[in-house]
Amino acid sequence: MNKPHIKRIRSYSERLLVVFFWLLVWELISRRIKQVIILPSPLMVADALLQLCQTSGFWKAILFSSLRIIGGFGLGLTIGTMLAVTAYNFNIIKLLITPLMKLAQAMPVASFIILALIWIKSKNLSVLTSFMMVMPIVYANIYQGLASADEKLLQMARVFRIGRWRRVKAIYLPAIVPHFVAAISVGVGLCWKAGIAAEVIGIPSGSIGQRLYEAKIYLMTKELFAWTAVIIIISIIFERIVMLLLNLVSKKGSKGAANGHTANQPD
Amino acid sequence: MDIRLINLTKRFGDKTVLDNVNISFAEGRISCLMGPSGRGKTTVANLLMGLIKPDSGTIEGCRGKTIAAVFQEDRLIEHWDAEKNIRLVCDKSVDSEQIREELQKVGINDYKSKAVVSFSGGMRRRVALVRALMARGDIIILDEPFKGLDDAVKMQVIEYLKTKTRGKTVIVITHDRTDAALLNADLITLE
Repeated sequence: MNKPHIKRIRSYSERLLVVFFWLLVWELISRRIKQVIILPSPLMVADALLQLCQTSGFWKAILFSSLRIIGGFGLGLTIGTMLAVTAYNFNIIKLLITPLMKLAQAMPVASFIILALIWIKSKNLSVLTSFMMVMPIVYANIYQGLASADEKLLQMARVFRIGRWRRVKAIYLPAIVPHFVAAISVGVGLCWKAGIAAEVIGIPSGSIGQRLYEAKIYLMTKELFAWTAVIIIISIIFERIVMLLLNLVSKKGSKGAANGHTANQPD
Repeated sequence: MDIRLINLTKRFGDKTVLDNVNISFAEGRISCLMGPSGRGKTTVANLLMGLIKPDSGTIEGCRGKTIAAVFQEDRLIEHWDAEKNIRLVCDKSVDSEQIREELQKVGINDYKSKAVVSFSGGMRRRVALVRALMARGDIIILDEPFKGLDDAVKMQVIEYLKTKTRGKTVIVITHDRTDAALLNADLITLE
């Protein structure tokens, strides 16, 4: 067996051990408390999850919430990018947008959700909420990426009269990609958290949020834990898929630029 | 038409880099702009390229002309290979074979799929030079194009430059009087 292979196996084993350690801690605390309503054991939660998996409602709820949250994420990504590009090219747009972005960032999620409930149907609340979470982050990061494009290369492009699309490919994309990756990484987690929170407040029928709310009302703590696990798993899977797609695109466009950046909040 | 800088003044803050300068570069010839460091040679190049504006004075002979340049720094796309860097400034009719031939003329043979960031300073300089000469500019501005080249390679590059720019207006910024002599260039000194 070669060295990298051994290293990888060791890394996986370490991670498994860490997971096992915390499951053990959870199990021990649960045994000590001895009250399923307060803290069910990991095995009980796994059992509840297995039961849930066998119902069609479970899958429908996942589909319902995922479609909306991912839709909001996609919308945030698209509009955030478009706004950043416009703001980069027109200072007046930047001046106009900046206070809105600051507002979107500073506003408590709960206040926004309650306000949004007045404006739109609860069914679409998670779309708007995840959009509002993602868009300012994407805007700030894409703008920063554009602003960080190498000025000397841009001058070179001007002197050589390089066309817009070639300029984007050669200079802007490599500058944007690390910021874009960071924004997505932060945005994915946030949109799931905020999207589900919106569903818990708005209680749209057939959503994960509604199931979480019911589990809380009827003190079904095992189910509450199971649904939480499901949300975490979906969020991780979604992030992995997005990152995989992004890596493929960035490898094609700008080799090796897709790592090591921290997401920026709008200024 | 010759390129003429007339009563040109350029200041950066309190520092006057060019003070009422009058220079003329002959059309269709190689001119070497010389002078000690800090006398504004690169500022002249940037003014000619339109990257900065003069505080006063005028530049004649550049309007409507296309410019190609080797900058003081190489200004290459670091993670791209030499061919891709050159192709960026060429029109679509230029093919890989033509680029390969040009690179070979300046002694660069092994460049396929190698990011220019991995090249030595001299190699990068030659890529920047080939890029400028393949861009088909009416005016070619070369800011210290032989920086980092050893004597043998420099001779090869000078011959390439002379052949490639015959009949074009070329402005070479250099410290070295022998470069001017080897290029058979007009000598213009910024005092």
